[in-house]
Amino acid sequence: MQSRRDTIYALSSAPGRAGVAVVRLTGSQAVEILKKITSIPIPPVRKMAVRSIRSAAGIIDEAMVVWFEEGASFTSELMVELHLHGGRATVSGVLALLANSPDLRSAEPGEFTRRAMESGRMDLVEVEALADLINAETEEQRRQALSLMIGDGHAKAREWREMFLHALAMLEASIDFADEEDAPEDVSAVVNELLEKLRSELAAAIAGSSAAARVRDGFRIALVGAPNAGKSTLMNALAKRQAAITSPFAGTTRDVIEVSCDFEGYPVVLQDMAGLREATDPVEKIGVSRALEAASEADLRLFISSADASLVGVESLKKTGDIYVESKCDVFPSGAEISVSAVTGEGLEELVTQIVQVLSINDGVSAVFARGRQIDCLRIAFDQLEAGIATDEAELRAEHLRGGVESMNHLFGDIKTEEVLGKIFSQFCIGK
Amino acid sequence: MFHVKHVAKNFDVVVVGGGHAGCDAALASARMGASTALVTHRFDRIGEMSCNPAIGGLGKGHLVREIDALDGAMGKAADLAGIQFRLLNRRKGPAVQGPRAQCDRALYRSAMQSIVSAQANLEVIEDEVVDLQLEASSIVGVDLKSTGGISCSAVVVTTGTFLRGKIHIGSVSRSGGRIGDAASVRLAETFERLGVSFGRLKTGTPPRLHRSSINWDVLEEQPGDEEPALFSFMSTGVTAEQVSCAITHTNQKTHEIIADNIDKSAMYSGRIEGVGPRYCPSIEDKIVRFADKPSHQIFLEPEGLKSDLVYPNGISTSLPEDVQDAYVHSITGLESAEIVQPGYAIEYDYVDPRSLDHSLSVKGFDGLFLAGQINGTTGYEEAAAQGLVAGLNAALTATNEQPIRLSRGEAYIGVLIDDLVTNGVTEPYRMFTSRAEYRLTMRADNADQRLTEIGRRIGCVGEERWAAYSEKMERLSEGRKALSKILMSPDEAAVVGVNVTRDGRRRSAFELLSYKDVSLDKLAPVWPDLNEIDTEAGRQLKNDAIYSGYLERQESEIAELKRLENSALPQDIIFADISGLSAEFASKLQIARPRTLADVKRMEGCTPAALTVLMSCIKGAQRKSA
Repeated sequence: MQSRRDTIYALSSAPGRAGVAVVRLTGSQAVEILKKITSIPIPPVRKMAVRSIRSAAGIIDEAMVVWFEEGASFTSELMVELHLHGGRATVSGVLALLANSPDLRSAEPGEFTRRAMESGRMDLVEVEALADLINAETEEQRRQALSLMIGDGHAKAREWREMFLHALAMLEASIDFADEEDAPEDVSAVVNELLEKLRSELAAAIAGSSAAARVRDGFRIALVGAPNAGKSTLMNALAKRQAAITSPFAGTTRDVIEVSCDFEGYPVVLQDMAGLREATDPVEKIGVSRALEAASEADLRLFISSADASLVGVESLKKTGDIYVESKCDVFPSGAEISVSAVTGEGLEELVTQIVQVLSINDGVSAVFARGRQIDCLRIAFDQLEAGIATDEAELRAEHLRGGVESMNHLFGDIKTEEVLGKIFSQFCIGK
Repeated sequence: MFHVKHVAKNFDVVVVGGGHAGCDAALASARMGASTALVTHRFDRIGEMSCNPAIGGLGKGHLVREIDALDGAMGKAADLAGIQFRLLNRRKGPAVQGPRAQCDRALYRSAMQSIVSAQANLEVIEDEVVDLQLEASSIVGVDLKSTGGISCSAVVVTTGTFLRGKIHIGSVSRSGGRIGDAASVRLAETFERLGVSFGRLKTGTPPRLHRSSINWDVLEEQPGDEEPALFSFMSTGVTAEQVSCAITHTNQKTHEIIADNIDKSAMYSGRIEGVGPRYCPSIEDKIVRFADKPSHQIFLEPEGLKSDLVYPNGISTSLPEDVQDAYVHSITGLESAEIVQPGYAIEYDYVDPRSLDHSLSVKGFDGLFLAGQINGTTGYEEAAAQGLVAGLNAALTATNEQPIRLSRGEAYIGVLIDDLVTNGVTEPYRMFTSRAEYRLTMRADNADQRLTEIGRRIGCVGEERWAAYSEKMERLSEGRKALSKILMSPDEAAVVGVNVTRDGRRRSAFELLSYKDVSLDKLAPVWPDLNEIDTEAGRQLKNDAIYSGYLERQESEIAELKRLENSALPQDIIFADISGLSAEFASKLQIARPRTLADVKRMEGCTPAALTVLMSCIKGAQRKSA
């Protein structure tokens, strides 16, 4: 089928100077435009070849070009990729050439992906995962995004939708074909088993979602302690840069200072803050109350104390998994489990290992749904499932499973029509 | 009654065909006050049940109740002709129960024929419509084979399987619309000329057996319900004598005979190109597709009280006659059964229903309506439901009034027509309760409350029904009031044996009725006011109570649906020009030309993004016109 939509182009690699720059075109005219701007006949489909790219004024670049046929490209439309030399002048020369071509316009942000989704090449979960993958800065973020895009996470979510649909089809068969020979009279055993499995898997995914969200958005780790316990010095040492001002004077840090870093693939936001004490200075008072607020909202707290700055008044902040750190062990040797010296670097590695251990708990296959939208869909599906399990009436149970299927459809961003009947007919010999 | 031969030459509406679609179309049109002609080959075949002798079932029973709620004929005729009534899914919730009746063919025919005869504004013409008269794209009349031309402003075509019908028995095939009737070839050619697109479907029937040649003594009996559930809201009881059916099964021997001769089946030798229904497979289909099943059930249904014919439901076939003989004789009870008429497969043309709008009028024409099997459906009930809607709309068109469209949230009839005109068919379309998204609110028991008022407003519901309906609504509202007035604490409820959560909240008797094991009989001894509620109203209130917890959600969904149904797309919209729609979906839209956002939403391939884009188109168009 000939697509009648606009043909669009964009620089797909990062702007700026680079070895290679990639410009992509998609739409019905993409290949026609390739023919116009290259010298000799275009290469066979999916075969990359060298071609000169010419404007009226002469050759702009010698590039590698490749094209993909309709139905077998990222957007599902005709697509062209130009792999250019990545100099600024070269790239802008080619973009100017394209800008002057009739039947072609520059793409809006995300338009290639949108076309991929509209053509059914990608579902909404894949699109979101792709965005996460492009934004991934740490190994764990990359792993999580990829799992949702092409891996176990995506497959699992599809499977849940299938399970809902399968259970619904069984129930509908028992309702609509009650008097016909091969419709199962009592499907409840099979359906119950299926629903129980679905319940435990969905519950695990929802429970794991906060961990997944932390992988996506970063774990917040608060450094909590008395003034002059060495929090800022420790943060700088962990972040391997001078993010916070340090001094021998108690109360140097007033505001909450954040610094992002990567602990063995986990994205972490370290938060340095004012030391906790009865402050008299009005500015320090504000600092302390901000510190308390940040500490209680963080995903993990490091309670830092030293021989000359002991930890008091933090009882209300303590949560499971929090870590106690004895600082300044170069000056005051300590027998504590974790004692560190920001000066000598002693104990820092152990501390990071301990932190990563806490972060990686809950990190199962299904714990990859991180976005609020995704978790909302899973929650609604789960609630419907529970309500469905709670009733014995076939038509009410079916009603809830329908709600579950619908919510899974929202997860994937599609509106699906009758699939239930198709499923019924593939399984049962129905009819008098 | 006597049919009238070309007394008049002018009608508002002409209905072509006297099957189930044609009857309810002609009757609906006439009830609306339009002068109506029903053209059919033979008056004495009006109301013929050409397939199995039964009406109703799951989803189908809902349709019959809805036809009846709009004062249609099918339910009344089935009640008069019913010789065995069974409410399917009796043990499940009321939303998925479906009334079904085995009918006496002769009684059904005569019931339908007398309803037709008694209808004012309706004339029956025994003839064949050979062509349509059009001026530009408007219907102005029809040409009859022997009567000549008659003028009209709307035509409802209900030719069933007669369009280029072809009957297959083994390797023998011949043209025909039904055993013993001619196919309509010329009308098919007319449609072709008009540019309507066709598809081909098939369906089949089993061999008919001599009742007296069956050994009934060895067969399992299937009796009807003790308390028959009738179709019509106007019926008060059964009139015909009630009988039982019997059940038997195919066996290994039967399967061997069929498997050995499978290449002789018209269906399997490649002579039939049409697609058959998955839910009504031929016996050949069952044996090939489900080879590991050792046996299949067969219902032996008497065709009538005085008839010597039995319809063996479950073994429709297109095998040669000698093979039919052999496999029938291999079945318990049928060892010496005589085949009166062999089973056959029939192939026929249908019109792609996507060329119709929701009024069942052919897009691009004024006054041309299609209803029934011609639109790719199967089943008497589906046909009659379409006939009713087409008949109403033909009459409305003839008087220049707005057509009526029932919503998916209002009626199974709405679901049926919406499915057909939006998504077309890939196999003969049959109704199921699972097709209805709002199944809990659209029940067989409340069809009158959903539709009778609408029917009264447009003019198809007569005085008698309206009076009965109004009186029933009065009783229901009294009953509901009585139930809501009684409030009881959990402790008081426990006294009458109802256990609810002890939260101290006072619940109404209506709320208590929503519990599965609570009935009016349980509550009435304590609150004598409830004795005033009659059985019928009581049953209805109980059903309402059961689903009351789901009502709010379904109602808000239905409201959302109505909002989409009221979001009309600009008439001159060119989908290909709208940026943000995928090329594939834009071309689908261009072909389907949906009128509203609800139509779009139902289409295959619709995404939330596409809906949003179209919604902004509507807003843009409104701003421009404001």
